[in-house]
Amino acid sequence: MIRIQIPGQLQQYCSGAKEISSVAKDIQGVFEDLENRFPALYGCVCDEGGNVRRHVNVFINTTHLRECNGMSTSLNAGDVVFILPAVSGG
Amino acid sequence: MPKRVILAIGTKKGMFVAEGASNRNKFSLKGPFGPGVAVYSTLIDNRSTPKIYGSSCNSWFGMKILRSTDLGKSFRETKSAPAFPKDDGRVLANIWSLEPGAGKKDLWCGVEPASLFRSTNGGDSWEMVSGISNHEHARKWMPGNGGLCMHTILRDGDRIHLGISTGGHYVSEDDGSTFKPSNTGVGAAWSPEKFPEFGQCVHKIVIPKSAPGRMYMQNHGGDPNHPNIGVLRSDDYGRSWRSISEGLPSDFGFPIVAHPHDPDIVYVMPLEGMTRTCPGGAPTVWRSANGGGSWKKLNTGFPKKESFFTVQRDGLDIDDLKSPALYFGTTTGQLWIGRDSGEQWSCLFQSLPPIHCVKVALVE
Repeated sequence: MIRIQIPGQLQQYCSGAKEISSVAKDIQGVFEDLENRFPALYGCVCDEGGNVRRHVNVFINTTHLRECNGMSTSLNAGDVVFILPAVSGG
Repeated sequence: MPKRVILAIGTKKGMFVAEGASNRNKFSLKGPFGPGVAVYSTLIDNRSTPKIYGSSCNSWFGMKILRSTDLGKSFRETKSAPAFPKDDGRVLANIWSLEPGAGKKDLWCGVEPASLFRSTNGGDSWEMVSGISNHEHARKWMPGNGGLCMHTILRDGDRIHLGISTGGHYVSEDDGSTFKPSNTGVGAAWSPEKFPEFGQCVHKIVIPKSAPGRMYMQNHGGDPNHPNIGVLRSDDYGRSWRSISEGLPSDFGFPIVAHPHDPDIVYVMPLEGMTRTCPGGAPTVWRSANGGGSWKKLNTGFPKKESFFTVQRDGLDIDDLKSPALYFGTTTGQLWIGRDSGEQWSCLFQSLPPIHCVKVALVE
């Protein structure tokens, strides 16, 4: 089982859940799972082309998705996927 | 019930709603709604039960449409926002315009990159209008500094006018099925071809309510080598345009609005072309009462110096009371009212976030 941590700003799109679980085997599967179960949440994380939005960071445990194997990054039971808004302001 | 004046104000940090009595003496303020997120377009739709819409342009989590059914006491996101088809290749970057359609729940939405979307259920679902979004010119339009935006949607029965920066003015005669460029007389100073078929940096277009054949346009002017291309008028439904900028201190500016009861009265707010701020640091709205034949400066109540703000393309509006008032918001966060058709100005709110757009409507 994979755990997906949801930031506070996006919990309204998954019935207030702080964490949701998935049986996906890779990151692509996680996003497909989100798209099927929580389409509005998925739309906040990925644009209509299926790419992770520019100011959203995805970590697998403590490693940023860009340092992994992209969408085909494989996942193991117990992994935690963090979805985090980039720090920015002004 | 006496009419109330509602202002829907889009800012860099969310949406505000101001409300005042029809004497317009005092306004109260609510907001920010969609806090921390820029709102570039607002709409007060009072065709039936009044609704207020705002585009919440979230840099992190994508575009949302906010809707209020209680005159701005609260807002909720609609069920969806415009989005390109998955295989289109384009990604929504901003929402620049919201306009009512023909049916009571119909809405039109202009976005960046320049495309048009349509909703038949008050914004809960959207369909891309391919007649303009996939027009043969669409992939040739070029973004200006503000992005490649469809910022103006004007409806007159089955005729629909669009303003695109930089794309120019396009018209549909069949309720949006097909569109043609209509830019005869509209200049493009930065282009090798000074009067191209399309590709102009149109800033805003307006149709006076009582004369649909008449149109006014604020085009991208401000080039001393190519004067008199900035402020334009059409008398043939936008088929051809001619300059009416003679007498203005600059033909550069963003907004342009028409008087609600007299099609010959039009207002602009000229800015210096290089800085896009008030000429000489002295804010001035200019009014023509003869369709652009001559201009009168309206600056009673404004600072006479040291005011270098910008008023963006949707930052100026006018109500339709018998003696209408104008309203504009500045990039320095001030909201001004020009009572008596702009003869007397005063500042309603001094310190809002930078203002992108102001829309006004009367509601019961």
